[in-house]
Amino acid sequence: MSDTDSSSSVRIGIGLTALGISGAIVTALMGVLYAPMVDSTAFNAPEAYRILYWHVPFAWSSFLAFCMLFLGAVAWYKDRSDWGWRWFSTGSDLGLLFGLGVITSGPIWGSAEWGVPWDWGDLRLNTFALLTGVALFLVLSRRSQPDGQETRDTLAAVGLFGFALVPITALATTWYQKRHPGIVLVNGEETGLDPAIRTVLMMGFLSFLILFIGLAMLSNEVIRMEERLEQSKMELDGGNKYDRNL
Amino acid sequence: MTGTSEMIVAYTILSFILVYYVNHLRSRMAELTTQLKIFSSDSEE
Repeated sequence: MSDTDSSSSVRIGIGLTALGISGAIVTALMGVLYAPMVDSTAFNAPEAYRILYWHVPFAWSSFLAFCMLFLGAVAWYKDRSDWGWRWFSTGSDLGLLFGLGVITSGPIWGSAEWGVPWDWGDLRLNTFALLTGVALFLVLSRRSQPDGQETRDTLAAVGLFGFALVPITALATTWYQKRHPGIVLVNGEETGLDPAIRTVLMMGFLSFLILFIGLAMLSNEVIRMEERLEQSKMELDGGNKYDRNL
Repeated sequence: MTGTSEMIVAYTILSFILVYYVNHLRSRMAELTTQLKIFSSDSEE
């Protein structure tokens, strides 16, 4: 990729990130000021439900990140492609970012609504925490281990097995609903989800999708720059970037 | 208890996470740009 392509990618990434953040702020404001209050007799902490306008898009973005991680790991194994590794790295970074958001905002709502922040018997909560744990492991390993083919093979394998948790987590509330609420948009028609709530949620999804794409482009560019720097260092030393693990 | 304070705390934490990551990308990009410039000027010499 040329420097011109690289700088236009950065500019687009910055633009999308700014647009996505603006949309997320509007979503939060709409969630607080426009979305109606839920039935106060059916909820212990009715105002706290408004956390979901960021909590749900955060969760959705984390699934996108894990899909990116999976595709990157497959591409790495198939062709040993650098773009595959960059997708894997970006997917793990963003999976950790959005996953952390989900597992911090969820227990805050849980402690207000359920009276306890966590339920160790709930499949959705625990598989999602494991998924975020896998992303944390991958991010820390990438930063602490020397970059090389063996390290990449090992981490990509962990990522592939970790991805198996995504469908389990996504369908957990359908298979085994204990405490975590079901899929709100899919079940919306039958549960009578208010159209205003649905609108704000859709606005959140769109904003976070744009934000996700912007962050992925910027993160991808950072990893590309790190590779270029590493390659320059190795060229000065007279080797190539995979030499260190061979 | 209506959960207003929990809502404010949650949005604050989520905002912090996003801002932290955006700032991390910004500073890392600036640092790498500087290092790459140093390497390219060294290799030209």
